[in-house]
Amino acid sequence: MTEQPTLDLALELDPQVAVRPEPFGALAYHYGNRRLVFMKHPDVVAVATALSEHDSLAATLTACGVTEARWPSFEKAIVSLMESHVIRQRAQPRVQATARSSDRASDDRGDRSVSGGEQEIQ
Amino acid sequence: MSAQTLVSQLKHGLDAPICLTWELTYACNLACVHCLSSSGQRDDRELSTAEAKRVLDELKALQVFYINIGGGEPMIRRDFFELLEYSIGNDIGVKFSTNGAFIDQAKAERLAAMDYLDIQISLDGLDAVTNDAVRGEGSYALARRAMDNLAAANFGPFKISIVVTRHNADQLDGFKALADSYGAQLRVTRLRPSGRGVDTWPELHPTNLQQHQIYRWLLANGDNVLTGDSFFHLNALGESLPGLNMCGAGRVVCLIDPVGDVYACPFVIHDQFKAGSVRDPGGFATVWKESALFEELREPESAGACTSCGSYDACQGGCMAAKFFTGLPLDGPDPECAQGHAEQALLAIDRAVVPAPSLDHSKPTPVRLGRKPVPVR
Repeated sequence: MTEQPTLDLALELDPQVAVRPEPFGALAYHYGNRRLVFMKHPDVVAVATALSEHDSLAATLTACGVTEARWPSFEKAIVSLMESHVIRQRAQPRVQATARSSDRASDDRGDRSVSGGEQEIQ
Repeated sequence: MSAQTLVSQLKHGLDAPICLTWELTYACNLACVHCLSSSGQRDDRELSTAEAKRVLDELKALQVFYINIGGGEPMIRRDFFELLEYSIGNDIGVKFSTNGAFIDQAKAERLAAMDYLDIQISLDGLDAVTNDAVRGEGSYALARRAMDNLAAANFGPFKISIVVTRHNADQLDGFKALADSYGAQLRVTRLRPSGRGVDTWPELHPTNLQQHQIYRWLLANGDNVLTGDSFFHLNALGESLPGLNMCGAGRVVCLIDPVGDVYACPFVIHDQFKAGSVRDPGGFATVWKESALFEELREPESAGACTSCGSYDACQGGCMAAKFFTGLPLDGPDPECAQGHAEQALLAIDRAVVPAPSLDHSKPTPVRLGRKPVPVR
């Protein structure tokens, strides 16, 4: 992980993650490690899904109209989503075509060995 | 938002299930004594390939992330691979449960080449004697052969799925070692008195002493072991086990049975818990969103006789299916209440009035529990 402050990082949703809006925020499911993550705030969902369109987390927060006083709590939420592999650092800081959250990489069989966090509902 | 608030929101239900179980056929080559769906023979009314694909189209539109496929033995269906590929191709991950009988080397290689696929091989004993008493003669060897074939095909970490019974509850460490030896993941779930389990549960379910053992074992190993969130009734014993720890029936999960009927969960195949059919005019989505049964299940439940018990917040009164098929009231303690609050009520139940499953697809040959392999302490 980089030494850069999280606010300066260029981030995006992991391409293997699908996000489904819910009244409490959203459900994020990682097809690679089969982890289900509950995103419990609609504003965090809006920021997370907009990350790929901006050069940094700070720029995304500004674009989403989040006042600076609230940035620390958003930064904390985004770090936690990075730890669960919902969000990752972007390879190129330049903004690419908008990534659709349902797009999935198909060349990553290796990821299936990640199993520690898998959650089962049924 | 705290975890508690999230769970209370989930109890009101979601616009679509997080995942669901779909039993593809009632046909099975085995005749396990605890089969939750009393499977054996195919039902003439089972969904056609085209109908099944229409259901998958609906699930894609609802953004259901993955489905748990079961049966019966799902690999018996001729269109099994076609449906598997159609589902995964539509961003619906698949986890399927199988007894392994049809996973030869060629099928193992075909399965290993697919992404977003999990396989659960069922095994109910660490040795053939323990396993075959429940799952039938030769079933242990079939399951192990499937595991060997998947390992040889480099499938990766498949899952070994155990239903915990009185006879295998003392083998959990051994199951973990077996899974580790394959690089597989262990899954242990709770025995429910559903399907043919209605008749065998009384002598197969873990003793109260074993339940305490299971709880301690899950606390120690739970982060690396899947449970389907099925042991939350044991949270009455103290610290909560990993998971949501709530009954998801009709709220975040449900069952589609082989003929397309939608039930609240895989363990309640009974008319009282049937919400509708995927063949109804509005399809699955309308059943999920509008059925009177599911709306009722999303209302706050009554703690009933459990109101005065300090553990209710932890155990939630246990499993609806377990209560229903043992004849206990739904707003009272689970038959395996860890505090022992159901013991008197269970003794008082007239076995003749315990609800029977609404469907039985068992083969005509009687299904009997095999020789008891382990002395019960």
